[in-house]
Amino acid sequence: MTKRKHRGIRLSDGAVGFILAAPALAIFIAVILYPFLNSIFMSFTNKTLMSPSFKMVGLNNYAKVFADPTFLKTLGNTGIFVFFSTLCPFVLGFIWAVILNNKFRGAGVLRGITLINWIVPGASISFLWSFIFDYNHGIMNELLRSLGIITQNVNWLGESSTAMVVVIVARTWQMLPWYMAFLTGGLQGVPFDQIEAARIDGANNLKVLRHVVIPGMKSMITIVLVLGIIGNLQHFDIPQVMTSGGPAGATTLFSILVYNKAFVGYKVGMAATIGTIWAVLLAVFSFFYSRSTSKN
Amino acid sequence: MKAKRILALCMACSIALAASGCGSTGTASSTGSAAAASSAPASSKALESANLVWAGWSGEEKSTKDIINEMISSYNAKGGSQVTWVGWPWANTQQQLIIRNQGSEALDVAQVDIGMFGALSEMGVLADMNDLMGKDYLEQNYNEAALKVGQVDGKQLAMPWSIASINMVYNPTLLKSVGYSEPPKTITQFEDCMKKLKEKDKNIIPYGLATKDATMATDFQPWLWTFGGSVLKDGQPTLSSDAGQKVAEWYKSLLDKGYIQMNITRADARQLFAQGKIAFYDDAISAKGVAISNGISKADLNNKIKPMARPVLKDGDTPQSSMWGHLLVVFKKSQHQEQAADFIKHIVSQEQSLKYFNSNGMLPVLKSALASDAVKGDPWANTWVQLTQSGKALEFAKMSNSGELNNILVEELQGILLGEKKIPDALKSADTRLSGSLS
Repeated sequence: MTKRKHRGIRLSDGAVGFILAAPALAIFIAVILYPFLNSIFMSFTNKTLMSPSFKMVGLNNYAKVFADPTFLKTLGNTGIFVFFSTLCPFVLGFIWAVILNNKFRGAGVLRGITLINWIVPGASISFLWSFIFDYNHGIMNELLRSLGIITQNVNWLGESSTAMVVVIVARTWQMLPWYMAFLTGGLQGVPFDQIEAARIDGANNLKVLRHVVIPGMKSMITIVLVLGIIGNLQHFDIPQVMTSGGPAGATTLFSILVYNKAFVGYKVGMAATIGTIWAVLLAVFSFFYSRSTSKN
Repeated sequence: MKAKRILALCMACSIALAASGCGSTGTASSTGSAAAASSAPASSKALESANLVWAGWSGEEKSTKDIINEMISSYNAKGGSQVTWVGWPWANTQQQLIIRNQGSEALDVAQVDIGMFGALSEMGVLADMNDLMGKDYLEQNYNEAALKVGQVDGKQLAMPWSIASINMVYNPTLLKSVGYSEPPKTITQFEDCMKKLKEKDKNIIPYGLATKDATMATDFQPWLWTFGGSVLKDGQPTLSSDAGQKVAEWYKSLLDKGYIQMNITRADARQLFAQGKIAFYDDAISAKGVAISNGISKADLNNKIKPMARPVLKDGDTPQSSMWGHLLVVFKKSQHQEQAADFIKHIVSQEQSLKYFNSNGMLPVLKSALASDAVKGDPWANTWVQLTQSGKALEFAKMSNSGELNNILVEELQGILLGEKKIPDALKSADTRLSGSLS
């Protein structure tokens, strides 16, 4: 019997790596890279949903967007929304996480109940808070009147000055559990002996929080804040359902502006232009996120 | 270090791309494989059974859901083609139809309203009913005026289903309580009536004018016409005109006096009206059916809701109203256009359209149905037919981006009402923005 010598193909380490990465790369190209590049391409066209044909318009869409006062207003609205919708649930979530981190009876149950807000769909949350702040039947006006804080009902969602507040309240309510869950994890990672040592040295609660707990959670706080900002930058459902971006554009965010351009005006080219600008903004925060995660 | 930075940048970009949702819209042909339309009318030969999809919004609404299901069931019971319903809220129907026509979704028949028809006809996705039903059949059985609503360049791209106009309705009991046995006929009387209603009960919103969503723009136009203005003249925006200024001042005064309220949609107005908290609001002929579904008993209808002509600026002026209606269309991409046309004939048939009329007051379009005792003997329908005679098409109705134009108008009007912009500045801004979107 003669033994056949099998001569396999010799592959370099690089080639093996490429083959192994190829399926993921193909999915990345199909699902993320191609749509993104196509979206950038569309931003230089006058493409609409009404017709399959379109023309290249160069930088016209970008010039129109930056010259449009509503774009600057939207930028400001988005900034306000992102800032407060990140800060408020973060602060409240942190306080709640600190409270629940004390091992009292029922803390676990309370933690579970808190998570319900996060599970409820955005549209339901929007309706819930719209009912609470309804001008004619809402319990908020009823409550404030009974407490003597207001004498006349406030049209919370009908006034520019209050509509954004209500939207932020609803978003805060939705996201508080998310911040709480992350920050609870962060709190549990702070070495207990360091807290004990600080207390022995005479530090009060505030000092322990400031000099031990927060520095110990620095990386977690950074990640949570950056992710929160990214999430709020792309947020859509609550302001859309509660106010449709109104009144007078007071709650129009980037997401609503893109939606309106694409699916109300059917101007896909313009929507892609705003989407591209939006993506650049998101990329800045995503960069910080990637940097902070790679550091850790 | 540099490699790490590049890696971090790449990761950042990937996350941003995924997060921003800059999805592809694709450039695929919108027409798909359109089935060739037979020139023979649908009823002239035996049709093969098919599965049809009927899209719209009425099957989703509480007041019409049952009758729509009944229409479908009665057609399916014949044993031929079988129809299934696909629906969305009214506000999403136009965009859903446009998006689904760009893709490969199966759609055969759709319910569209007058405001949606312009965009769909411009897309070139609608089949010609003259080919599917026969021009003679259409002319013999339907009013010319009704058929015209669905005509573009000599083609019958939509079949009228119910055509009327948006008018005002009032609560006779509330008006009687302040000494008005008849609805106000002029704006002076209208304001006086609202003043008395407010004085009588400060919790009443005398006029449930839409101040939110696109409805605000569509309700605004008949008032602008009443003051002698128009949104467009020779294709150019003219809101900065004297009439525009006057109607904007009037709107602001109504809000300042508490006669209207911010953040009111048509749905809000309907509910508050049914609760007796609104005395007047604008609605379609279907308002009666909506009132019943919102809790007004049939026996009490005459005391709680009646149609009225929009008050005029001075005696002798023509009351203004905007045309409204539901149409039925067949898509070119449907593989079963003839079966779809046959189903439409079933919906608009005398039997079905009278059932529809009885359930919610929607006027039929079939000549024989219009001439029936059921319609002729109905005071609600007769008043509405009279009011419709002076109805005009909304000024953005035939524009494909009417939604965007309405949004501009709404934003600027809300800016005026909330005192964020001076009236001349807001009107000028509206003209500039409309002009930019029209070009």
